[in-house]
Amino acid sequence: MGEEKAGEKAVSVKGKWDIVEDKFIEIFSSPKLAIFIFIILAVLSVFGTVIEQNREPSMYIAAYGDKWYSVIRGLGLTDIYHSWYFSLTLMLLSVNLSVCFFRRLPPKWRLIKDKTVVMAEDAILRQKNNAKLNHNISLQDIKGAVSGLLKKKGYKVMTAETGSDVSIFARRGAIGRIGSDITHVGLLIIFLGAIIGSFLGFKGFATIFEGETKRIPNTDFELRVDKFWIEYYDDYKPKDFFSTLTVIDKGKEVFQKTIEVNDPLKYKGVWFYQSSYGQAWDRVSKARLYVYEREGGKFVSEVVTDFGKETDVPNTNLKLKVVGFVADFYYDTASKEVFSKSIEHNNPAMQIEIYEKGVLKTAPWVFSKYPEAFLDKSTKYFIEAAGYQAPQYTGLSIARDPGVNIVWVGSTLLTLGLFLSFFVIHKRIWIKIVDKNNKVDIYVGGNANKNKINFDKDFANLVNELDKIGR
Amino acid sequence: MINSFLWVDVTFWLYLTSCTFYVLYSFFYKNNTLGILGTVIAILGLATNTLGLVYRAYEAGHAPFANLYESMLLFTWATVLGYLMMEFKYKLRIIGTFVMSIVFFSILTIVWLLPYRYQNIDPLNPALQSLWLEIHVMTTFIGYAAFAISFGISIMYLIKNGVEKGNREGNLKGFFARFPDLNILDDLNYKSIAWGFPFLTIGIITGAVWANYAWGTYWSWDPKETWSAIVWLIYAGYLHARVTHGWRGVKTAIFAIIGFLSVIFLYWGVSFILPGLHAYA
Repeated sequence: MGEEKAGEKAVSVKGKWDIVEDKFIEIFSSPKLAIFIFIILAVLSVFGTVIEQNREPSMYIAAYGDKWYSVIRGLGLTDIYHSWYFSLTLMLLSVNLSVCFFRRLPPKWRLIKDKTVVMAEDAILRQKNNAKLNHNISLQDIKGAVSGLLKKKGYKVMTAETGSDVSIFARRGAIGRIGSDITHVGLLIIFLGAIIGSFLGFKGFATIFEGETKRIPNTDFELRVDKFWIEYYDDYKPKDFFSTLTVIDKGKEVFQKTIEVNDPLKYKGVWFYQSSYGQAWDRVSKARLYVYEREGGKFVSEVVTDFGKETDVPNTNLKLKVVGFVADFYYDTASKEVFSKSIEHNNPAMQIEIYEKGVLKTAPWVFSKYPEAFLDKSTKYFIEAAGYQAPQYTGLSIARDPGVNIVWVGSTLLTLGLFLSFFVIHKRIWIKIVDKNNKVDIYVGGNANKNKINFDKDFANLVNELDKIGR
Repeated sequence: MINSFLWVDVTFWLYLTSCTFYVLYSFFYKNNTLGILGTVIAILGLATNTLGLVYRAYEAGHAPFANLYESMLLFTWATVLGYLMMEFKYKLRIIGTFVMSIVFFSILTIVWLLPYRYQNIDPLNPALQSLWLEIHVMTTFIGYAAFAISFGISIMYLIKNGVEKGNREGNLKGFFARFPDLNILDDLNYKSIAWGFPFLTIGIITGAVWANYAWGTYWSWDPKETWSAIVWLIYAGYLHARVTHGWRGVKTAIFAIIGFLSVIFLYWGVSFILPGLHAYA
């Protein structure tokens, strides 16, 4: 900004803050700093892939031992991408990008906007590529042919005439000069989108059974799963899974969609993704029970019962009722409670109330895998859990990310900028045709901002074609 | 019976033969026929490589980009195509000696070294059933191919640079006689990366778009994602070092070599060593 006033400023001594500012701009616009930041980010990222991130402490202790775990955790290596130093490096990168952008863009912009048509002969011959030709044609006859030739080659052509000469300025691909700036802005916009997403968005997960309605956290609506199913390939590998979902907003059904993997539902900015599925770990819909005589083991009968429903056992005076289920049995001795250790069906057990002549006799836990583990002796019967059907739940990932579209805008700019900066070349050509009594001298000069070897060839071709005009 | 494995076998032998001719061409530097044979056989190999991919797609019923074996076929295909385009433009056949060697070793790994279970046609798991599969994999592999070519050129640069230092008269003979000038190698190295970098970028972005559709998050620091960012940073470093900071020659050649080694890790190392969501290839 100071260039216009350079004359005045040269007299005054630079203030302390001007020096600090200059130093700051110099450091933060240097490519050295950019490369240094890239290396730091790359090295930190490698750490993050070698040390597994965000796992449970027991996993780290098993892998590295107690002592190293505290070191690793202390250094933030278990969640490196959210550590203060990773964020700081990204901030440095953002400052670097911004300073570069504001420092480099204005002079480039002036070059792009520059439309100096008239250039002196010697200035033309000082261009990187240059040539001088002469023709035995009149100025009026040749000027159209020259600008026509340049137009045919995709140049934008501007001309200025005096009585004795014609100046031509031809340019193309000016936008290519700011490709890198567009890329840098794109990257900054991506960062912005990511920051917005991390502050204003949320991610969650819900398991919902068929027929169940759940209020979705952080929103004001509910979601009902009407149906869940899986399609298989011939070899029984899952091909795809589907959930039919209904959005219930203020008690009203507003929207229904069947989602599948790669095809989420979107409502009020919240996306629901088909993510997983599984069998209930805390309930069964149906149970199949075998009843034997405890003495002698004679088979008495078979009962198929719904969860929580008293069912008569034929040939006996018993009624059975399944009142509890856990997929992975665990008995907590402190609280004296039974619960499921995991959602895996590792050790399924169901609690069965046994009524004799209408009186509740006992309510033992019966283990599917270990039928004779705990023999209950309050009746003369022995009950085996022969099978069960657990309802399936659908696993939905839930996300709201108001920054995601900003990220896509940034990504588009970033990519566009790369193509501009690699493949669109700013080429400029100045020509002056000087009248010499029905002959003309032609001065040609030009330059390109990159891929100069290629431009050398282009320029040689142009000179060659100019030379052929009218011959 | 004609199937994709047959075409891949034929491609293997064609690439081996082409590579052999290119190597002979570089040793018998007075004989141009050897080089022409190398080129012609490389074109034939590209044709059968294409057929291999097409047959594979037909047999599998989906784009043949779903596992390591299939993606390697795409890698050799893109590398040979990219190299041939470069050869037709710049007429520097000697580069083929290095690029076709990379191609040959690549196809060797999948035909002979990769266990059979990796060659199976697997049904597409639900997350892969998307149009993004084609776009994401294609763009990524154009990037990988360009980086492979830049790797070959960088090795040539370092060899030529070393030999020239030891031979101050500058009249190189035999194997090295046809090596292009150092500044041409440096420029072609840059041009390859200038192709690879935007395509890697699109590959990463389309991967993010797809992840957002399939998993609900465009970036989750999965090892594959993270390593793609590392590779991206390395090549971004190369570009800034060369374009803005004025590095040339040995330094940029080494930069490009480090870049491709990290591509190999991104492609193979991450799949085998680091567990993550992106476990297919």
